[in-house]
Amino acid sequence: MLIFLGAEAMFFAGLIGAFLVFRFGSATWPPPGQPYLPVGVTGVNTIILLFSAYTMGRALRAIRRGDRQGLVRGLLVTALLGTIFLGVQGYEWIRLVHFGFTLSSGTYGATFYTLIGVHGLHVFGAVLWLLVVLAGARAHRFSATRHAALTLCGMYWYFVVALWPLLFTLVYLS
Amino acid sequence: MGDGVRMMRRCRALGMGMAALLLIPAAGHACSVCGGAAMGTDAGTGFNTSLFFLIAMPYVVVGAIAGWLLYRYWRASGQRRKAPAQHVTSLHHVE
Repeated sequence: MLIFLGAEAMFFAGLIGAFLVFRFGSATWPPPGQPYLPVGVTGVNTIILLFSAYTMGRALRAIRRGDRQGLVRGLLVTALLGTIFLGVQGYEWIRLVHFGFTLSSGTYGATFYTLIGVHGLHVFGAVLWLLVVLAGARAHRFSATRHAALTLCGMYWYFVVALWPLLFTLVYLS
Repeated sequence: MGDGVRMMRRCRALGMGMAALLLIPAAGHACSVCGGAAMGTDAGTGFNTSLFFLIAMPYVVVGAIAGWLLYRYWRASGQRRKAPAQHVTSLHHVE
């Protein structure tokens, strides 16, 4: 899992590297005629995603104590927060596309949709994984001593959550 | 002439050829890292920022993995140290 996460980190590093070339290679950013990104809404969305890491931690601590109810509750809230994050991102994307800001809107649109879209896909995959382990938790498949699948899912969730503040700072605030 | 000697000669010729390339300024300037062509321009700043980030990333990734493994090790050894103490406490409690 650590090797997989290392590979994922390097994959995102490549995308961020490409973004940095365009961002710092451009005298004006965003380029003239392009919209400013919705910082406020996405900032609130960032807090929602960061809070989901806390609820994931609570779920993992619950199963270490053997508290299955706490585990199910923690996973459910985490999946819900992840879904809210994706929903808000999707809504903002629709608004940006209506504004005329698409993947083909120069390097600005291409880097924005690629970087944020790839992260969104990762969050979507992590939410699906969460739902799978949630079903397992409801079926009493995990115990205080047997929960490796949960630990791996937690590691992946922490990864996608930890990545977001970096992307938010780079793409929305820089 | 042995194969080893022939290979050595080829390597030496290749090395000298590559060293000769350094004497051509245009070839050196073709690389953005060399700072000749792009330095001081927006494109150069973009390339250099990106390069510094990408150079640092493998260290960050390996450091994060090592940090995670150390954290797991310390937590596990801390639990092992705590476990006998709890056992003694529980025995006292039974008494």
